[in-house]
Amino acid sequence: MTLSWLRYPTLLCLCLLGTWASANTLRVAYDADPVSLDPYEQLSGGTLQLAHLLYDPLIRWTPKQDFEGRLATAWQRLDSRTIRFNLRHDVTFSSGNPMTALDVKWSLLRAKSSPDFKGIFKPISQARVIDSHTVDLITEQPYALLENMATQLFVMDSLHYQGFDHNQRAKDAVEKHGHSYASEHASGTGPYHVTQRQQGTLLKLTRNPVYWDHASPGNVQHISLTPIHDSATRSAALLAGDLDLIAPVPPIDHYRINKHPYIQLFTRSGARLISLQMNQQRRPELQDIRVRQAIVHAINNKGIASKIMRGFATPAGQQSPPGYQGHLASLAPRYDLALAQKLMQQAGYGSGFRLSMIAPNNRYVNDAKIAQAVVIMLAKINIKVDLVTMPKAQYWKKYDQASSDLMMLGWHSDTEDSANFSEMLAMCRNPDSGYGRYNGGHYCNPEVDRLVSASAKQTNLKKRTQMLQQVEQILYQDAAFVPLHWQHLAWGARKGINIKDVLTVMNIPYLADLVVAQP
Amino acid sequence: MNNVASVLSRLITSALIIILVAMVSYWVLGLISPDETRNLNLAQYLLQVVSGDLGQSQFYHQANLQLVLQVLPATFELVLVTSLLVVLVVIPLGLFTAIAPQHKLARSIMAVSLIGISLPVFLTGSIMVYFFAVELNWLPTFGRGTTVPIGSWQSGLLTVSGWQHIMLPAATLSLALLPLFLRLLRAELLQVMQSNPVRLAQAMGITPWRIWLFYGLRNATLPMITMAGLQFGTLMAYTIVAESLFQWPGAGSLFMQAINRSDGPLVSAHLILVAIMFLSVSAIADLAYGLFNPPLAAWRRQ
Repeated sequence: MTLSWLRYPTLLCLCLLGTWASANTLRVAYDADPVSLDPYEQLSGGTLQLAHLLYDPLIRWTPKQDFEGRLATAWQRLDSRTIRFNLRHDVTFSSGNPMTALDVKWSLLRAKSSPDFKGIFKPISQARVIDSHTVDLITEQPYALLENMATQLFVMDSLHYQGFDHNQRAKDAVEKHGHSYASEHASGTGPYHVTQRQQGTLLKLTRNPVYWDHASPGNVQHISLTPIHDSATRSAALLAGDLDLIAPVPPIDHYRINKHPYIQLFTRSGARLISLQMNQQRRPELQDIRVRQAIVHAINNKGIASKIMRGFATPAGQQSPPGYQGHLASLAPRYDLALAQKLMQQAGYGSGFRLSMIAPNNRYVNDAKIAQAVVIMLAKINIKVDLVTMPKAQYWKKYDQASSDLMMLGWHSDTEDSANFSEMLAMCRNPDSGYGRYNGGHYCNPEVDRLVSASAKQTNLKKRTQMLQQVEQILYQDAAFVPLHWQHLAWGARKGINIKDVLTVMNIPYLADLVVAQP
Repeated sequence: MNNVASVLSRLITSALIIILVAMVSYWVLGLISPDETRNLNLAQYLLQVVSGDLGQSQFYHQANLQLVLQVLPATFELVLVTSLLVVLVVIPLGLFTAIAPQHKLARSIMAVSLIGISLPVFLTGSIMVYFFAVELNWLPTFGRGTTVPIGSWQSGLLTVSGWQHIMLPAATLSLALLPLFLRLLRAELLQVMQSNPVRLAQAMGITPWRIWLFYGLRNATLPMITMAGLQFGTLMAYTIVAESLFQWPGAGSLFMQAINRSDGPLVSAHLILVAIMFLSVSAIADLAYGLFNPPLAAWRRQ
């Protein structure tokens, strides 16, 4: 009896060791499932991560933040509005169709028709096909970030998505959460094919046997992607050896994962800014620059970064993280409670007032805890905050309606560039151009608009940097928003999986290039 | 004749309860997805529910009923294995603590059971994961493992991996329910053992085992069945926690995801389905009651 009891766990251990050793399958868990296989349906980090596995862009960011050619072998700027891309000749889609310049043109048109992506691709006016493997991307105005855009242009199989599916819907339709043909069928040039997909439960990928990139050192044959919503479960599964790679890792588990002999933690500073928007449209008090300055000075964002984020964030004083063109080292976080109280008195609000506040509770790392800390900090300058936190599904509707006085917002620049922050968060709200779409504060300064618009046309890097830094300076002086911190990135991996070699600052891992050491 | 009437009255009460729950779920639907109720008034909604149409999920674009039925096997198997574990543990422990209430081991069992009843499910679950998965590496931490289709039913109970995966969540859930049943069984057994029929049996020289099993246990089973029927609701609530913790692809996980995605139609359909399940289980408990206690069934028949 005793013996058989001992035998059972031992057998189980052996079984687990068996799965541990089969290293050509990489078992990955994320916090959420990519909603679609279509790279142009939902603008999100999850979509981009998956798009790099199933499709290829023209060029891409390297982990060291340079550009490298993917479907394009070479590219050169012809003039301030045009870049010519020479495409690879040896690329086929998973359907078997060869990839040509027509596919690039078709993919751009499709991206420009997608509600989520049309804003990003707006500056590109057209793709001009020169010959079967040469294509020009042309912008309306002189545009400095054309290469940044080309990293997001994933090429889809134009022939495969012709015609209608069995529901008589066009195969090329982009429909958000619409279960369109493209959201369930991928024909790309990418390093992996989908072999099994149960939405919300499992996505299995197998390496493309005829992938064009023979130089890639990657040796991962199969990938299984499991969404695990509960962060403690995700960490436990990694520690127990049920998974090889997880992201994100909550700060509370960093220590445990780091000291584990077979698991390693990889963190790097990220570029996602967490901020608070002060809604001037709803509250005349917030139109007073002294009140906004008082709020910025009352919030101890260094304390939030060190205590609530456990050092897993860099406190911010501006939009642009270090390394971005607009970043100005002089714009430091400014916590000064005495000054904040003085400013409130000067503004005539020494006895304070009430503000409403909303924040998500499952979107950013520790979002609800940060919001609660802000409530306590603002109480010290007699601002009583009525906080409501909610899941992200409800939150974005409320945010879009700008229905609260203080609102939390996290933003990662879509173009890896400073201007995108200002275009989306700081420029005057303009429903026609789409600028200021997430400017929940309704802050509006014509000088900022002028500078940001001019920076887009400025191809002289030095002048452009000056303009973007000037924008940051103005936003800092005006206290246009409350900068909290830039959230760091964290991955947990089994030893032997060096995720840092293939991870970009946008938090996209190039799993196809990952070399897994056999244990 | 009376029998038919009692069944009829039961059916009518059940229908009324379901309609009440449907009203609440209509209110919930309006709260989460106001646009869903804009063109649908309460009467229309109730008519749909009565005709078996529980609407369509906003996220999955599939019928809610179908979605829940797809994941129900996972939850059902979890509940089944949990109940089995509870029965297998409670009966021997209950007998032992009742027969030898002063024994040191019996006392410590009762003390430990107190701890079990005081800990919330998510904590016991996390502790189990820590010891059995992370430290000892015996059992997997998440998911259902390999499943085998039996018709449209995906069963995890026919594979080794399925059993490995079900052990931790089922053990966690049963730990939450065990103390209650253990204490109830022990109390009932102690009482039955002092009743006159048992004393008579002892005086007649019937072997103690026979008395414990056939007189004691059988009589003590009745309140256990009532309790099981009542605790079903608690178990359903606990499965939501356990399924989220262990990433168990069942109805509880689906419900949590529906809430996180603001999928009003799925949340409200889920409420109605849980009410129906609850009513069915309490009906089954009542039937079982009659089975174990023929006099009661006879009394009902009169």
